[in-house]
This record gives sequence, structure tokens and C-alpha cells, in this order.
Amino acid sequence: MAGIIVHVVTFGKLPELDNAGRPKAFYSKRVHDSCYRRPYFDAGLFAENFDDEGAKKGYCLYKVGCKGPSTYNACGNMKWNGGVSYPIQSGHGCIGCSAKDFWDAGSFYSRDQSVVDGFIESDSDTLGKVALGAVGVGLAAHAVASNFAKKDDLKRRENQGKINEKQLEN
Amino acid sequence: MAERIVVDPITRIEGHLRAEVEISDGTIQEAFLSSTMVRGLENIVKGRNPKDVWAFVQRTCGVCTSTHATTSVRAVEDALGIVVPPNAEMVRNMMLGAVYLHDHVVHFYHLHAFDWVDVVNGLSADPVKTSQLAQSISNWPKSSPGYFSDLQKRLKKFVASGQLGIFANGYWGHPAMKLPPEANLMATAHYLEALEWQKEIVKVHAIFGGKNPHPNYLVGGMACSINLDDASGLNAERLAHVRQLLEEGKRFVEQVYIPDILAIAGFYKDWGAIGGFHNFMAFGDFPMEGYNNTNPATFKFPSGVILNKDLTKVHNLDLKDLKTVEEHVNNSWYDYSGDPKGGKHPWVGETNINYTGPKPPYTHLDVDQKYSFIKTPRWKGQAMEVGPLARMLVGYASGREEFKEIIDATLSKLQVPAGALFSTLGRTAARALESKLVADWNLEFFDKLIENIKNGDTRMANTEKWETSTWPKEAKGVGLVEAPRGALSHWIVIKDGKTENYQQVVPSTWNASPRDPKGQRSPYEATLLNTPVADPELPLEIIRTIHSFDPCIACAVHLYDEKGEIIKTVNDISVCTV
Repeated sequence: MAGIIVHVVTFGKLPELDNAGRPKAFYSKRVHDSCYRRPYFDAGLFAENFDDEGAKKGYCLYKVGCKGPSTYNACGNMKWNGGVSYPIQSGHGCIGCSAKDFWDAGSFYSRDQSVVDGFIESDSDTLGKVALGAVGVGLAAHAVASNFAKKDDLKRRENQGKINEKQLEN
Repeated sequence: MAERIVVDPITRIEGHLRAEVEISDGTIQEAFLSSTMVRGLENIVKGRNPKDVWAFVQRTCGVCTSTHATTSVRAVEDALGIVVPPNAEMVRNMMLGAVYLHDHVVHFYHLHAFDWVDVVNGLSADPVKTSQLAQSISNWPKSSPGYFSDLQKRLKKFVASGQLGIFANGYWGHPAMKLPPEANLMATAHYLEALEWQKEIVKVHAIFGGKNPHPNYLVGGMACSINLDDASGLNAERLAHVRQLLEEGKRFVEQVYIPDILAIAGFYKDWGAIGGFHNFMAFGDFPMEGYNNTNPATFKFPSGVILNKDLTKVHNLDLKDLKTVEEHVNNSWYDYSGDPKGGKHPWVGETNINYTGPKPPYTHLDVDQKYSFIKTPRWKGQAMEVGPLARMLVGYASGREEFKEIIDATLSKLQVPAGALFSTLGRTAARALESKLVADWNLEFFDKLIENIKNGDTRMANTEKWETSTWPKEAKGVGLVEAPRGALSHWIVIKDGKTENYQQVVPSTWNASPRDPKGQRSPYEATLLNTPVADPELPLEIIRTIHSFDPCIACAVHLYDEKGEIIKTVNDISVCTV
């Protein structure tokens, strides 16, 4: 609200609005798009439950209900209370409070339905079968393949890092 | 003949509150308090996943935004037998402690102070004398003559512009205002400083819960994992920030809030004999050895009930006994199955809304019929005051040294008898005194968290019963929290993994409810009786007592004469700033 007043005072006009009538300055991107944990989503590294190893390492919160993939808001850019933190940074998934009818879109802890089924959890064989029956086969397959490549790459780097550390200690 | 005046809306935390008061011979003879707004969250959460409910009921209020969430997760944990890790307990304590400091400071300076402080009168203060006054009561650095002189110039400009903004239309110049100009100027300076300060302390919530208002909670613990060797969890940097915020909060309470309360109270000792109630109840809070611990000594705020101002005995709560707590709807706009005059325990409580009041706009409520959306809760058939005064008195009567020390020192400093505790002044002072206790405890909670981590315990959530499949077919639980405004309880019945029934019995339900079937008054209605009102057109005295219970929300006070004509509209300066 304050942001809109500042915009009007500074530029002498209302800010541009999205199709839901909200200022684009704050609602043009998904929480998912500005998420600093996004690389872990792309790499398939998730917190499987609250306070587990993945949660402690700051992995993606999609599997514990984060609605970032379907929620348009600027929490990840602006953060809250003078930039101190925002829900995902403090370990809880986005509950999607600026998404339409979010309170009736299933539990705050169920997986975001906007993410394609099987995209995250299945192995590559199953995904291949899913992808064959789906529209936009090529794109999906490419995305899946690149995700698995990233995951492997991340694991390889992590292992290499451990080897390097050991060498330094010796 | 008594003159019936209506004050509507008075502030209340989650909605509108209306007072209809009859005055004759300059004192209040009769009072009816009504909430004209329905909450109904109980019906909204029915059928939902109990793990989600905290986020819904948290929206009951936008001010004390942590308390309903804490109460809700405690209710679910109680039902399912979940014990949260000690770290999560300390984090919840610090978050609640931050709410206390934020709520009490904001309530005093921004909702209550201008019932006692005359901003416009402060324009004629001598800045040098104001500085001397400020420095004689506190070490707070912002106290030079130049500081007060600058502020006064800004205020004068403000008033001269004719646009008073937040200071518009208060009770300026009212005969019940007693402070000298210097005290008025000093308190106004602190009003403005508190506005700045209040946005800092809530950062504790942002660090642990991601944001304020409405930080995130979790059934089983908290979501903010500890990882000292990673930027993604609670680490030394995050924790140091919390420590700094808690210390700054403590400093403001000690150097600004407490000295101001003592200085202002000295001019209003007559309010130590006005606005008192006789029964007090506290649920207790701030567990040090686990919320499930049955030893009351392990809670910073002890639990108990005081009857008829008798501080020699503290009665046990026995809350889970189905007959101990009952809510009545004999004067409330709800229907009950079975006996309409009977009470219902919250576990079998019902929220069947049925408004039978007059069609708006109306002049007066028909108080011979149902007249409020607030139900009437009773403890063993008795009306109870809940809130800071109840907590301080239960602590005092329980023989807790730190409570006795701070209360006795205050009584002696103000040179008032112990009976002055049972009053509007006592209620307002108790809020400040407990802020000092909580500010100290916050650092204990912090140290305990650090100690725990040092000992190798980094658990933050217990997820053993996260999956609904691990739950019993049916379960029921209660969550109890000492919210800043008073004893708060949520009652849940879980069936087949879903919320079968949910009832919130909030502090305002205890304090602001209409009469019960025996005709007993609840605290708001009772404490207004016999209050002198100097000018019925400007009923500052009503506001003083009602505000002393800590209602909230921006309000405009409209006064009507007996024919329903508006005779005066006073925009109250109690602006909710959060």
C-alpha cells in the first residue's frame, strides 16, 4: 500500500496493474522465480520433512508444501520487516496468501498442484513414459534431462569439494 | 432521569465494541457492552486439516499476531500428545515475549496514553524544564533541552497548519487531564519514539517466523531449523540479531516505558480507586521445562484464580473438567441446542450465529434481549478478569519473589495502598511492570536456547506425528496462552484427521462479555459502574477504563442523545499502528 502511494507521489500516475488488478511492481513474478532456493528445486534437492537434513541445508521446500510455484508476490525480492527475512528464508514454505482462493486450495503442507505430476519425484524412466503421453513432449523432456544433469553436477561438485578439503587438511 | 449515552465503536482487538452507559448525578449507573461484529472463525476451520488451522485463526487479530497461532498449535499438540523440542519452546517464548513488548508499548503510547496526556497542553511546556524532568526519571539519552525544543516547534507547526493528523480531535483541554505541560511534552516525544521503536522489536518474528504480522508456526515445533554452519538456518548471525533486538526492547521498557508510567501515575492516583474488578484468572505461560510440564513452578507466569480480591489464596484452574469453563449465550446472538440458558464447555461448544438485535441503523440496543456477539464464559460459574493485572496478582499471590518485589516497590514509590492494585490505574501499571519482567525473561530464553545448542541439541521440530495416518481416530485438546491481553484458549476436537469442532475463548470474551444467566456482570460492564463522568459529551472517563483492558483498532467515538441525534463526534486518538 505504501509502495503504491510512493509510486503515485513520485511518478504522478498509478502503477501498471496485472490482470487481477494488482500493481505489477509487486505481483509480476512468482515467489518461485525470485527464490534463492530455486537452484535446489531445479537440482531436485528437497527438504522431505521439517527440520530434516534437507531443511537444515536450506533445500527447496516444495515437498513440505511451498506454494511459491503458483504464487505471484515480491516476498523474495523485498523481504519482510525492512529486509530481515521472509517465510522461505525462515524455513516455512510460502502458504500462497496472495494466490486466488488459496485457503481452499488444499492444505498448506500439500504439494503445489501447479507443478507437473511426476516432474519431481520419479526416476528418468517413469518420467520418460509420462513425457511421451504429454503435450509438449520435447520441452518437458529437455527440462527433465537438464534437471537431472544439474543434480548430478551438484553432487559431483559437492564430492569434489570434500576431496579438496581433505587434501587441504593433509 | 438517567441519561443514556452510546459510545460506538470503542476499540476492541478484533472488531467493534459498543458501550451504552447511563449517567445520573455525574456518575455511571448502568453499563451494557456489546460487540456488534461477528468473528465466526470457528465455523471457517471446521473440516480443515488441524495442521493448517493456526494460519486461519492467526488472522483473528492483526496486532498480537503470534498468540492465536501459538494457541492453535498447542491445542493440536495437546490433542495428539506431541512434545515440541526445547529449542522450539524457547523460540516460541521469545516470539511471545516480543509480542508482549510490542503490544504493551504500542498499547500504552498509541492507544491509551492520550487518555492521560494532553498533547496540545505540551505546546506551552518549557523545554529546559522538560529536559530536567526527563533526566530526573531516566537515563534515556534523548532528553536534551534542544531535543524537546525541536519537537515542540514541529508540534506547533503541526497545530498551526490546522492538520493535526494523528493528534486531531483528542480530549485536549478536558478537565480530567492533570499532567503539567512538561510531562505532556515528554510523553508526546515518547509517543513518537515508540512509533519508530515498534517496527524493530517485531523483527524477532521475521527471523524466526519469516514475517510480521502473521509469522509462520508449525505443529510439532518451529520451521526455522538450526544450522550453525550454513547461511540457510539459524546461525550465529541470525541469533546475534535476535539478541540485539531483545536487548533494545528491554532498554526501551526500562528507560522509557516504566519511568513514564510511574511519572504519569503520580498525577492520577485517584484512578487507583476507580474501575476495579474482584476475580482474576491466569492460565500461566512461558514454560521453561516444556509446555506439557505439570509443575506450575516451571512456568514464568504461574497459573491460578483469585476470588474476591483475596490474595492469600490461589485456586487451581482445573480447566479440562467439563464443568469448570462454560460459555453462555443467554445474552449473545447465538443459538444453542438443548437448554438455551445452559452453558457449554468449549469442547462441546457451538457457534450457531443468529442475530436477533435491532436492524441498523438503530439508536439503542434492547438490552432486555440478547445484545452482543460475544459469548459469556464463566469459570465455575464466576466472572473473571484476565490480562496483565490478573497475571501480576496471581504471581504476587503465588509468592513469586520477582512479582512481589516489583509490585511492592511500585506501590511504595507511588505511595498508594495495596487496594489501589484493583483499579484502572492498577491495570495500566501492571501492564508496564510485567513488560519489565518479560523483557528480562526474554534474555533468559535466549541464553537457554544457546546453552541447548552448545550441548549439541539442534532439534527444532518433532515430526513423529506429522502424517495424519499416525493419529488416533478421535482426539481433543486445548491450547492455553497468556496473550498480552489475557488468558486465551483454543479448544479442538479432531476426528478422522479433520477438525470436527473448534472454539476460541479469547481474553475479550472473558472481559467484555454480556451478563450471564444469573445476571452477573463481566469486567467491562462491572468496572464502569460508579465512575464519575465530568462531561457526558466528552466521556473520557469511560474510555480510560475500557482502554485499560487494552482494546485496539482505530475508532471514532460517536455520542448520541436519547433521541439518537449525534450530539458530538470525537475522533479518538487511539490509532492502531500495526
